[in-house]
Amino acid sequence: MLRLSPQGAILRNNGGSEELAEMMAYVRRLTDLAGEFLGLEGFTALECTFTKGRCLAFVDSNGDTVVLRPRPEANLQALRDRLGL
Amino acid sequence: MTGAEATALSDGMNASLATLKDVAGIAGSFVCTPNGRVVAREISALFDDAVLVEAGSRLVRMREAFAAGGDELEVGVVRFRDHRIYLKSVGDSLLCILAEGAVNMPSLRMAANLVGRRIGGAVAQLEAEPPPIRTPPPPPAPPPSRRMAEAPPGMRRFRGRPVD
Repeated sequence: MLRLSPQGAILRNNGGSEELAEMMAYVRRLTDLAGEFLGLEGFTALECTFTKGRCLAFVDSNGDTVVLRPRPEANLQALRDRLGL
Repeated sequence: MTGAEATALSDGMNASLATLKDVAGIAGSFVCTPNGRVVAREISALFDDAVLVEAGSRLVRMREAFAAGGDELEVGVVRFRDHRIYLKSVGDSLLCILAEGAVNMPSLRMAANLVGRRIGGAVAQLEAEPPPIRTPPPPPAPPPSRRMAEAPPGMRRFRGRPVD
């Protein structure tokens, strides 16, 4: 789990890596830009399914981005419902 | 591939994308190749091609960012306040679906899987095509110069009349 400030700084790191933090900061920026072009505001969350593994990121009430790399067996449905994913 | 063949492929894909709208809440969709070309679209004309290229190229770059970290994206959901963008990898391209926040996600996933499978062959053919050469627009014509009323050498003019 990683917690990133709106500027991309690592505020908390529990099992994440600096590379993951950099990548997610960049991905956040790209999603904001893509949304802007399409007239979509207020990024709230992102879920990606990879060939191996998953990644979930959401913006909390402080504006920080929380990044999760759940284990394959983890059930994310409750979190998905909460985040509207 | 001739222009007509490429158009036929795009038209076929557009027809497949149109079937996504059977799922309530889907506003439209488009397909963006790794080099940023939009090869199919079924979305309101409010979103012109340039906008889709800009948005699509960012989403393609997002996929590349994950790939650089060793993660090959299959499906992604980007949630905004009232909408979401559903992404599905089709070959090296991305099928991007714009949906309302309250869309039925299981239906959307199923429809996207079917459409992704249907357009996979056409996308692969279009990916192999080199991107169209962009010729720069011709420079704007210089503004018509205002012809000043020029007096012959040795003569001065004021308000069109010769003066000494």
